[in-house]
Parts: sequence; structure tokens; C-alpha cells
Amino acid sequence: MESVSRMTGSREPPFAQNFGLMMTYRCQVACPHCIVKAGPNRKEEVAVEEACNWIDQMAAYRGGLIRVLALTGGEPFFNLSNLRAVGGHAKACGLAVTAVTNGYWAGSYDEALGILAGLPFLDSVAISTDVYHQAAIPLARVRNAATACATAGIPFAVSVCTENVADPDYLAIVQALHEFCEADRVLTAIVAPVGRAREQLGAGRYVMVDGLPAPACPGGHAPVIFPDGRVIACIGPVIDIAGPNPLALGNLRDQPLAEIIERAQTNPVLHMLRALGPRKLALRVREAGLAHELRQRFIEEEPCYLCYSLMSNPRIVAFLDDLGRDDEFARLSAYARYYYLHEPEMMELLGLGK
Amino acid sequence: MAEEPVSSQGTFAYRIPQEVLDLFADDFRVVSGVHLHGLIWIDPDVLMQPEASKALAEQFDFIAVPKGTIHT
Repeated sequence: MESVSRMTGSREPPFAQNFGLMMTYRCQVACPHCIVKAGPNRKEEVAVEEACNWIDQMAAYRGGLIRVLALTGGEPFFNLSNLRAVGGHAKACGLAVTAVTNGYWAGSYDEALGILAGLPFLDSVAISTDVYHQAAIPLARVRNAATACATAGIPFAVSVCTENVADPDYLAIVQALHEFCEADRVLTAIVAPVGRAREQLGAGRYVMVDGLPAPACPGGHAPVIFPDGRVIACIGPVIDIAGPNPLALGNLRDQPLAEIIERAQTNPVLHMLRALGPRKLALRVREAGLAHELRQRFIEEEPCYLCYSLMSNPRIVAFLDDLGRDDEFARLSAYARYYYLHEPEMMELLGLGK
Repeated sequence: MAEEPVSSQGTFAYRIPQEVLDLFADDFRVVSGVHLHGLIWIDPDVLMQPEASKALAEQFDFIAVPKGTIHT
């Protein structure tokens, strides 16, 4: 597991201040670890007019609570016209705009600078590279993209996926990145064995351990919108789940964004995940006599795969749905959200703490 | 059960019942170094600073340690 080198703030990421928008499933490459199975043959992407409408709703929600829009995919730079239209509209609505990219467009430093000059709304960029991406997109392009971002004054980070932080190939990439990128800008994510990764990486090189991983949910603060209007509570492995579960928050083609997020404000399962992690839910599953439904081994210190295991099991989802309707659990979740995350919204909405 | 104020802890404006506080007393929150690929938490207040690029380099590693947290 990656250790965190510094703790620079006193705030937790607040709920729904940052939103993600999955621009497209299209990508130049079809990496074996991609949980959304992006690739050159995929067709789905946001309709610009619809996406702009969703952004209008974001900007209007609770007088400006939503402040950051992260554009992801697939490869958001695949369709530069859509990226300009959607990113520019978000900026005009007062949102900060970030984008995740594989850096393929940075064939040269000058070319990269030119592309970035056409995207003046970008407030930061995350460049993805790892063993999987590098099979098709060489590190030189990542370097071009990163140095162009630095020249353009655009804050950037480099995201590296791996199955195992002890993997020599992963370590070699990190070392190579450090030659042109400060260590603090290199972020590591453990790829989950879902989506294409489940099919192509299989058991992979994960460090599997007995017992439930303890960490709290790292991503449930930032809901993500998909091209078909679905709103999922995070960008983690649960986005691979087709069926209903407590983290599938709604669909913007059926309901306004405000309605979906207001309901999520009092989602007891979601906020218990954020406060104390999926282990807390798994212990409830055990107490309910459903221990046989739980996996026995998990990726070391990685909470997202445990969360995925819970949310992708229909019998556990049925239990969690019941748990979410339990007033006492909702009350506990609201207090936990306040106590650990310093967010009073759920208490206020449930009339607690007066 | 009556809900007791916890103002002595200096951080809570709302009241949390003592029995809930007792539950939380041994329920440490663990924050790992796991990053979610794709969406990076960015503090918009930092984005608005004049030297956002420099400040954001630190924000990329932004993980808070609130009360009751163990950092692994």
C-alpha cells in the first residue's frame, strides 16, 4: 500500500463539492486493467447539450455547493470538440475544471502546448501512465504532457495504477517519472480486479490477505455522471456494477440532479462507508448471518474491492437496502458523518442534534 | 437517552448522544493512502490562490486526519 508522505490539510473532501463526468468510453487504447472497458471500438460519449444541462444543474445546486468538475473517461481528449464545449461551459458556470488523460496527444512538447492553449478552462490535469498504458503510449508523451502543463501553469499530477506496489515494473515507472516530475505529483492507485481487469489480469499480482480491510472509503465524496445519465457515488470499482445498489444514486434522465443529491445527503450506507469504511458494513452483514456471502480474502489495505464485493452481491444489497431503511442505522450514520467528517447536513436533514 | 453537548471537545456545534460517543470512542477511522484512479480530490479554495500550481502540488497529497483517525 502506498503510504501518504504528508498531511497538508485539516479538511476531509466534502460531500458533493467535486463531481465527475464520464465524457466518453472511447480511448485510443484498450488497457487490460481498465474497469470501464474503454477502447477505440466503444461509441458511447456524452451528448454536449445534455451534459451542459447537467452542468447548469450542478452550478445551481444549493447556491454553488458543487465547485469542481472532473472530466474523465475513456479518454476525454479523444473528442477535443466535446471537451472544449463541455469544459468551457463548466468554466462559464463558475466551476473549476479538471481532466484525466493518458497523454497520447502530447506527441511533442510543442504539440502538447498547442493542445493545452486550446483548453484554457483547465484548472488541473491528471495524466495516467503505468505498465498497462505504456504498452501503447510511451513515457515520452507523458513527459511532454507534464512539461507542457508546467509551462502553461496548469497544475498536474501523474496517476499510476498497479496490482502490487512491490512490482519491479511499477517501481521502474515511478523512478522514471521522478526524473521529470516531483515525487508529490505521482499518485498510485491499486487497480481493482473488475471490468476488463477481471477478465485479463485475473488473480494478478495482488497481495491478498485474510480479514477485512479497515480503511474508510476514499472516493464516496465525489459522485460521477455517466453518458447515459446514471449518477454513481464514486469513480471506484462499483461503477462496473450494472444492478441496483446503494451507491447507484439515480439517473439524470429521470430526475433532476438536486433531487438525486438531496436524497444522497441522507443515504446511510454511503455516509457510513465514507465515515468508517466498508468493513463496518461487512461486520453488519456478518452479524445478520450472511457471513457465507462474504469473500474471505481481500486486497491488502484496499477498501474499494471489499465495497465492490458488497455492492455486487444481490443478497447483500438486499440486506443493505433494509439496513438503509433502519432509523437507528440512519441516525448512527448521520452522527458518524458529523463526528468523523465534520459534515452536519445529514443530522440537520434528519432533525438530530438539536 | 438525553443527548449531551460535546462542546468541551471544542469542535462540535451539535449535540451527539453520549451512547453514540461511547460507540465512536473505540471506532477509529482508518485513512489509507489509496487513491482512486481518475478523480483527484482538489480543494477549490486552493485553486483560487494566486500560486495555485505550487499549492496544488501539496493538495494532491491532501488527506486530512480528523478526530478518531488512524493513518496507515
